[in-house]
Amino acid sequence: MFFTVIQSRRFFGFLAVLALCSLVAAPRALGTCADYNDDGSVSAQDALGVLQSAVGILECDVYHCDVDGSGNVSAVDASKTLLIAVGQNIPRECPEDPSECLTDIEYFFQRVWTPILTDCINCHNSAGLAADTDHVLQPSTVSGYLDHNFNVLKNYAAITDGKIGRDLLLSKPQGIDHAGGQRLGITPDSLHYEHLEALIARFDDPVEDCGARPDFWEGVSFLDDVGTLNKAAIVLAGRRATASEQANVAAGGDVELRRTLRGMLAGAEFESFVRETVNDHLLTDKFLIHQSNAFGVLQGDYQYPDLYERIEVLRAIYGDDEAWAAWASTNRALAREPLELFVYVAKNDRPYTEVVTADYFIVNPWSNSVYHGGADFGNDWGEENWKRGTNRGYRLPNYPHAGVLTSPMFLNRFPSTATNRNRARARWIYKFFLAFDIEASAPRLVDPAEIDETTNPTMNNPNCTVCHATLDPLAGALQDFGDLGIYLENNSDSLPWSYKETDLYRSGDRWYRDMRAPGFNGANVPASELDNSIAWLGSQIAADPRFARGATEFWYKGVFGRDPVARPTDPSQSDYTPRLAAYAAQNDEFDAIATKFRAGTAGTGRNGAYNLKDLLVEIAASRVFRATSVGSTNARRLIELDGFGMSRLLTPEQLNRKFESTTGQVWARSWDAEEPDLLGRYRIFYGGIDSAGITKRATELNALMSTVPQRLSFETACPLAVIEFSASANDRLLFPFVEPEDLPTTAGGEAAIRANIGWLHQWLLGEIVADDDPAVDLTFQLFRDIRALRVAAGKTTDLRWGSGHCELDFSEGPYLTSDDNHTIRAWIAVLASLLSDQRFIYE
Amino acid sequence: MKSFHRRDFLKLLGVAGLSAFTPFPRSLARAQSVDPYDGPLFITIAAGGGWDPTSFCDPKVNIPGEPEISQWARTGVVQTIASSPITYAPFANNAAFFTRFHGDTLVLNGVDTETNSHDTGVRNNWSGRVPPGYPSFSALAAAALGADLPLPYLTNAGYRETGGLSTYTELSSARDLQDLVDPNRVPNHDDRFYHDADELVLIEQHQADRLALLAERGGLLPRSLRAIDNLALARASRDQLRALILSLPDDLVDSTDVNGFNNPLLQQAQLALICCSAGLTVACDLEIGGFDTHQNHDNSSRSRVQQLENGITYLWDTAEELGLASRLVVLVASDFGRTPSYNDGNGKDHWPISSALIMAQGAAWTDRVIGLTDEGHNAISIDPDTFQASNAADAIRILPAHVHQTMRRLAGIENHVYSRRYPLDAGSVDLLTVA
Repeated sequence: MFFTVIQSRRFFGFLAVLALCSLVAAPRALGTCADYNDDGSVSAQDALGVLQSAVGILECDVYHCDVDGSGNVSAVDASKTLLIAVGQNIPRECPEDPSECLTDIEYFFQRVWTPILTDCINCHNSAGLAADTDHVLQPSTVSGYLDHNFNVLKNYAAITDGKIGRDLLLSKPQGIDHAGGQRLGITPDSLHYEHLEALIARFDDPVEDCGARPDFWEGVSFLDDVGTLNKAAIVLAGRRATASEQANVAAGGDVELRRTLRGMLAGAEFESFVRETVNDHLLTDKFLIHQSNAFGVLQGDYQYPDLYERIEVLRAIYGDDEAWAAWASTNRALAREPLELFVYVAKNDRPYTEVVTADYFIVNPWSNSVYHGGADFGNDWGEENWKRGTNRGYRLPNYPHAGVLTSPMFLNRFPSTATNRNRARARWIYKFFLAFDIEASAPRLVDPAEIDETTNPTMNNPNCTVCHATLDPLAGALQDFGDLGIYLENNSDSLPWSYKETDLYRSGDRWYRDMRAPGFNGANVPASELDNSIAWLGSQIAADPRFARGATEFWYKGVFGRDPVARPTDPSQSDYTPRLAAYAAQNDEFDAIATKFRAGTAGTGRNGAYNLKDLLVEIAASRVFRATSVGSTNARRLIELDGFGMSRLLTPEQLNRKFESTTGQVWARSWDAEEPDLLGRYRIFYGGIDSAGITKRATELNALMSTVPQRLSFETACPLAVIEFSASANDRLLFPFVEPEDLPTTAGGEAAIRANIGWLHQWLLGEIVADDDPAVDLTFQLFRDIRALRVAAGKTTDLRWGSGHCELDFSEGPYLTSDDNHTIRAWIAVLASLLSDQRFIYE
Repeated sequence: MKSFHRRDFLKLLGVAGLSAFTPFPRSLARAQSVDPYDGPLFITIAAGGGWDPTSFCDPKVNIPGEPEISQWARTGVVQTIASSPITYAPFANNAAFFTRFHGDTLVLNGVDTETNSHDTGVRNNWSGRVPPGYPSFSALAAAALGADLPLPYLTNAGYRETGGLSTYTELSSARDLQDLVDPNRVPNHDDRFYHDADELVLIEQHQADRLALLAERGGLLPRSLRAIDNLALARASRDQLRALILSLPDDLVDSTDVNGFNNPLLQQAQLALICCSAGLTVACDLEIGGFDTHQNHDNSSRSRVQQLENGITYLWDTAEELGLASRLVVLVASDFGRTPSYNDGNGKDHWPISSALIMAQGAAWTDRVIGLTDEGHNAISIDPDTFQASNAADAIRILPAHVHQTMRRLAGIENHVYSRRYPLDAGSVDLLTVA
């Protein structure tokens, strides 16, 4: 039998500070010249549309179809459109559509800030290399940054004393007398230059009013409170909301939604969600794998003298088998330590800042002995018993504690080298905790000749300093940890011998003299903190205004299963405008969420600042989560909305939780009942990761993946139906409203069958439908047809034998063995379809 | 301005009414009847981490007074092949490899990857563009040539952006694959099924009608429509997976290669070719990591190059056995190159100049070298037509975009609508032209 009955579960039953939001209001994108069908690109289809417009078959305005600017739409325009479609460089001279008017701030955001200044700010920020210039910008995580930065450029352009500001705005990015060299390939012929020129012209001739704007979300429909609860509950808590929970939310609205959802964020399923989300970023579950185990990370009992002590004690008393089991338990404990820190913070409502500041280590009984954790477990050796402890098991005293930053597993998962010098670690710390992806901020088009001619390029060459000025101080703050994450591996430092043998090294140094000093965001590590610079770094990260945004984006991926909409960078791309509008709308939502998270008003607003459960509730209550459909639309609007709404393929882990919670059963092999198939043999096939070689989840279904839920539903449908109908109606999860005696051929029978079909649609698929809904009609038709077919064919009524294998050990019953009315087989068919339905495997 | 309603949009996508409900998910229309794929096959092999062409196909000797560029050049010299312009370093298994394959190989040297960042290098090399968002070549080829196949694009980690054109399949275990290709069959019982065939027809019809009903509900956001479409295509393609039952061996090839290395390329190549042989696959990305040799470069690099060469050799041998060799096009490349000098750890750091190999059996354009580098492994600009060194205004450096343009030509998809959706900044350079 493939099932294990699991424990009894009964389930019946904008803010003014947002400059971008207020000023730009995420404008909807409008059409472009030659793009007849408004789909974001110019193709032969557009040429045909222009031609048909020219001859009067269709209609098209001059703003889109008068490609040569002649004042009317003609065959010449169609010809030019075709040439554009095949890649020829034909000027698009449509007159400017008055409806495409951009205010100065909108123009600045679309044409200058997003594609140009987001590069400049890598140096031109208050802590950057260009901090002492007249051109210091604020990042988008600072409230009012857009206004501020617009005025910085406007003021700069107004400088006439000693230098001509407007000329410098155009010459500097070309590399003329600019320490940062040429940026973004800007020349007088480039599009970026044209946009800078136009912005400067606007300083003299401002455009401040373009009339009313449609809101980005106009026409979009959103999930109601109950629908939001159901969807969020499956993803975050691994179960459907109970009937009473749904009723409470239906009656209590948004406040009750937040309260109820937050209340559901507890227990093993929620903790699994937290663990999986964190691991999708940190990938430290790699060390669960025997070949890359956590013992290797700690590098033997030289570094951790008691690493094997308990294992050896058990070996001496009980033998090798017990020692092997202890090794496995200890390895899991060591490997899971960084993920369990996040779980501990979440379940105990600790401030999320502790993930980078915690002055404790999370241990269970097996790692407690390795780390000398100091936690008291008594005689409880349960692996799920996690407590606060410390790391005093290392061979040197005073092992620092700064949340995950000092986790040996985290540091080893992102190793360094003698030449990388912690930079990779710094990159990931910026990305995980500050929503700053330095690789995305500067794609680093490199001319090798320019690197070659510079001494110590990361300090001196503008091609390199653009990133390294930000990256290297943080790398330095990690100075006490060696390439593989070992603390003070040379007893007083972790510098490689290849460096210590050079003339640069001085006795007592902890960091490289040919790199920037350890620090963060323009500040050096204070002298008093140099012995514990990583803890200082953690506190600085936690206090950084970007930290809340970092958490928002970190957990967005866990909820949505994908990265946020990326900021488009190339305004020459045909889909630039709609993608920028989408990015801006998302930015508004993220900023609102992050602001509440920081202020303690997220979620229920009752649990203080930086509360992770409240952050998750706030994400679920946002428009990006609840968007579900749109009214009238066109192809360009579809680009704008492409990144919104959930519609996520559940991970194997999430699908497993959903299956178990909605059916009460486990899908596993009889010989390996402890490992559900979705977590074991089919996990990788179904898009899961192993955190080592396969580190990115599949987010779209393919042919092979689709066979996994199909096998699940085909295998489990029969045992589920038999087990359910063998129990009384009050104890059933799937069939509470129907009995095997209810036949589709009687009025009463059909009513009961339809009622239960409606329940299955609601319980399994999240569809709340009336008994006469087309969806119910369709499923009722399947039920009726299957039964009729079996009756007509005179098929066996014995559930144990004959056609249609039932994967159930009937001797473990009592179970029904006879299906006298062929209704159980009909219900089996219904389950076989619904358990692999699109609405079951997606949320 | 004419605005399109959703129904118009669906029509544009090729939606057809095929069931009780319209519009029907487009994938069902596409996947009604698909013959096994018998066109060109594309295998890419990524040397992950950034390889060193100066120890491979762009050999460099040391220049007195300059930092040492190649330790093998202390005693070795650049190796040549009679009547072939291809040269190689006396390193790893290069002699056997190039002696055997020079006639089937186009060597591209001086490929400027424009970066020293792993992420950017991987993206540029396998999509042909520095900014994110472009599909890999394999995804593009799979979408253009095998849209209706169940496993058109196989990956083994690495860059696998699809641009929404196709989906990829990660192949990890042959044994469990057998249970999945026929989900109605009881494991280990060829003649026992969970649902009778006549009932299965009704169940599958219900599933299809459910999808149609979901698609019909108005105004779904693009992600929801795409999810419905993907599931429809996946299900419609399921029967074709059964061809694998006949092809899959009980055990995969031993992953130990001829040099005794545990070589991941062997099983990757075997599974890829089995799927190709079954007519299910157009393109597959293979990958072997470990080329990021910041320390102890020569020793580390030698073993990796040997594995790479052994893997490519196994790929061609197996393709020959399966009768696929004449259909195979292989692209071999890496994130970027390594510095033309050694660092303090006897390693080599990141260097934007790299190389690439394009392989095909007996093609007119093989047994050639295009692209130039100087003695310090700097790229030399070349004439876009003659490929000779040039200082003219229209001179070029070979970019990954040129490599991708070449691959698109080889696939016959250069002007496909998907290729036009992702244009390359490669001008009219034609690396296949033989002077």
